[in-house]
Amino acid sequence: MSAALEIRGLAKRFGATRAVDGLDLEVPAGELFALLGPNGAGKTTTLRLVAGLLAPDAGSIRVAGHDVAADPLAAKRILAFLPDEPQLYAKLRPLEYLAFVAGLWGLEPGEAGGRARELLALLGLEGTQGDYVETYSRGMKQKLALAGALLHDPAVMILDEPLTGLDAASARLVKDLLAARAASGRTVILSTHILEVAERVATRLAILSRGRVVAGGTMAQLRAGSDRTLEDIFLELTRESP
Amino acid sequence: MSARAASLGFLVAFEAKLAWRRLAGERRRIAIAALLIFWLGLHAAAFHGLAGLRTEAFSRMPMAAVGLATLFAAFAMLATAFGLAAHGLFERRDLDLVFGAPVPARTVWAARAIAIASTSAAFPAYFGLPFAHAAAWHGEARLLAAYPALAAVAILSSAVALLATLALVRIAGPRRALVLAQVLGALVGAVVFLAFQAHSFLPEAWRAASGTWMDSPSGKAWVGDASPLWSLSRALVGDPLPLAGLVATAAAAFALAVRIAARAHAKGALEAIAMSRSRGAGGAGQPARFGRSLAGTVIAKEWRLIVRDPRAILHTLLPLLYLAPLLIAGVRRGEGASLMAPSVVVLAGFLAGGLAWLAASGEEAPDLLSGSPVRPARLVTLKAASACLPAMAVALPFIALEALREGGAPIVFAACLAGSIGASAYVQIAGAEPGARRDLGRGSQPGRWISLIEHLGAAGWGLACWGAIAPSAWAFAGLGIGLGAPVAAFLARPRAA
Repeated sequence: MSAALEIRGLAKRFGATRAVDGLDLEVPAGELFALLGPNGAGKTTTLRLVAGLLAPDAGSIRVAGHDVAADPLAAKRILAFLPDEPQLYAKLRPLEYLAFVAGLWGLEPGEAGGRARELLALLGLEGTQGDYVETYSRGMKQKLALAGALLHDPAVMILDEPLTGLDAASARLVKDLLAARAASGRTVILSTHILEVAERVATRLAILSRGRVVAGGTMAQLRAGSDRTLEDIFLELTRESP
Repeated sequence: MSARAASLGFLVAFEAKLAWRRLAGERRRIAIAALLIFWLGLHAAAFHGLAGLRTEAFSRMPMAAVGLATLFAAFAMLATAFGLAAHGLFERRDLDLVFGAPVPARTVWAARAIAIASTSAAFPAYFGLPFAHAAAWHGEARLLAAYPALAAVAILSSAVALLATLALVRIAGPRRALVLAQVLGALVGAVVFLAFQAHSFLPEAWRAASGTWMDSPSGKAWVGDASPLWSLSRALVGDPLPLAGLVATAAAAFALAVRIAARAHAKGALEAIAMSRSRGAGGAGQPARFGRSLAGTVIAKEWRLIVRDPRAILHTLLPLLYLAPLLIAGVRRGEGASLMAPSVVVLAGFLAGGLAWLAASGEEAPDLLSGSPVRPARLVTLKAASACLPAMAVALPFIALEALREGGAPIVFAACLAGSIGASAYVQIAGAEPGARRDLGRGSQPGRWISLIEHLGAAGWGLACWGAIAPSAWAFAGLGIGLGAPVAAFLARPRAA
């Protein structure tokens, strides 16, 4: 069985800056995988490359066996990408937004409508269906964007800082939801700068620094028998040389 | 550590800095140099133009002409002030910051009012003052009264706009007030523009009658040089009494606006503005329709977003409103070859271009579209269709009219129309830079080069239509420009990172 995500020798430059620099990564199916790294480590660029939103300068990305460069549409059919800043239409109502997403993914109407309502209820947005998205708070927008990402029940979810703007209860709800998806065999890949979140919910982690993976594995593997915290390990691995 | 409250001067200087950065963009040195050179050129032109005039000529200036020009400038300043008041109140989102500082509310509002006045006066001052300077040089120093008169009109406009916007907040609530203020400002500008052209729309008989009335004693009492209607222009040319009246009115309006704004703030009425983004009405709303085809889904989304956003409607329709006189003149003076068809070709092109800009550059979720399993070319085609279809629908009745007109050329008309609409939509989509819809209220607009290419293309198709119906060899020139526009847009398109 192929890995949910397989990255080989990935590189991306923006002018003189090497955002991703020969990155290798493999994420098995059914994992909740956390990508950690300091600001500018290349997390967002990596996720956008995986989602097919950027073209790599070198290297290959395969999502569930589909080469993102060679067959982007096949990869996108089973992918969902949630950007760090939710991108929504200010003048649409939540169900109209989800109907648009369903149209883009060509979902069966009856099933998509039912699932959209279920997701709105699950995420606590059912009482605001008459409102335009522009009236939503940051957290509500984040939840609606998440509902859009979940609508086509993707095999692989890519989430960039998914807990930003959420209150404690919503953050807990989203963490449980993502963990349940991983437990059911789907793959969730998220970036976060909150180490506690990664430590508690992720089944595997990778730490990025300067566009490369500097450490990866389960928490136990990262600790390597010591009693160090993830924060200790992270700071040691990502410390900038003077 | 001691802290001293910010002074009015400090706040005004800060406002001036922000206004200048909005105006000049990144290339400030180039902007300063260009503005200065052009201003010196304006002075040279004014000195040269006024050199032949003697003192008697200045004193015989027709007050009606000066008055109309002054009124036009005053309403233009009012229109600008509405936009600036809405921006200052709702879009800068710095009310929490400035009112959280130890600065009296009156000082803050006075600074805002002065900033609005200065910015709205900038354009008329830039173009008008060189002529006052030239007149003073030629011995008419009284025309330097343009300085206090212009400042007074700007302050008055600022006060009216601020008071009206605050009234809208009270009546319609903060969320609607933003849009209403912007719509009001745009309409003030457009209505004044059209009002000044109204005379040319009138039937010949009406125009003759109005001319006769203006020559009559009662007409002269209304619009003659002594009419109170032209008090503003008399103030502008240095008549002391009207000037003093204007300055006093402006000062009173300014004081009233600052006082009312500060009181509204003290009562917490403006807190709603800061909170307005997170409020919602709730409820179940209308049922959304799942299961449209991809084309239906994309086109319905684009139309819905435009119809629900008054700023988007304004952005699309205002240029048409400004160009309406062209169409009316075309329909009325259609001796020989009709000018209606070429006018509609140009206007429909502009409409399609405006809608295409909104659909492409105004895309709010580019990552969602790029991440979806739909070919980008398909999405672009559907967005173009969403822009072209309304323009086609608007133009269809005119094709029917052309078919009914004796000697009409509906097929030529339809072909040029399709060319104009298609070319304009393509130009805007090729030059699209996503993410601008949210900035619509902040003056975001299509790139200058792309707009120029789009307008040239539509004008080219209009010329081709006129030339083909006339007939005239100019049709080939028009066709060349019309076909060249999409090619130019393709070459000038922004390259992906």
